[in-house]
Amino acid sequence: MSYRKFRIWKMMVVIFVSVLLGWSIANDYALVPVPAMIAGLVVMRLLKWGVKEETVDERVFSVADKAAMLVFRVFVLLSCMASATMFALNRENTDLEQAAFTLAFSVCVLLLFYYLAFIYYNRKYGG
Amino acid sequence: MTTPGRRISNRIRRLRFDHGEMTQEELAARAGCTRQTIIALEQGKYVPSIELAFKIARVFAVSLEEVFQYEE
Repeated sequence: MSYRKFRIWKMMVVIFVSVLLGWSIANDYALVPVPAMIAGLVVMRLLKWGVKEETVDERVFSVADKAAMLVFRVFVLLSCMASATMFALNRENTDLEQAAFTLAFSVCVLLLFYYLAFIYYNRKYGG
Repeated sequence: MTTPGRRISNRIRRLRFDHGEMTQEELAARAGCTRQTIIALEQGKYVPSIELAFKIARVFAVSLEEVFQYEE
């Protein structure tokens, strides 16, 4: 299979899984989303097996690393600012406190994961 | 990725033409990378890893210095 065909099939799988997710959420079928996503991932993996061309290489990984780092930094910074702002506005609107805590704890968990991943890769690559 | 295009240049395009007008796709397939990476290399926008550099040199059956040049 060519890479172009794979991309078409990939889009169809994504659309199908998205429709299934939307339908399950609208109809309160809680058991559908996770198996649907897992099945979608399995199908994409099988499709990728049949692709003859190189789809990813070192340059793509390098670009993805840079993009991920930028997104991570921006997300953490903006989330901290949003969380702080929501805490400050809490007196006028008490619903904001829960949202602020959720955002703040999400950032903490993300930073913790980053720290652990950094330690792991630092040791792996001779640090 | 080091700073692209400033210190390391290459003669990939010239070597491709000298080797039976090899296409970018063919070079990518033989070097084990994507065509987009070959395009980026030829435009000086990307500096490859040592492994990829050696693979490209091996495709052309030349030494590394004949493919990539480091400018002070």
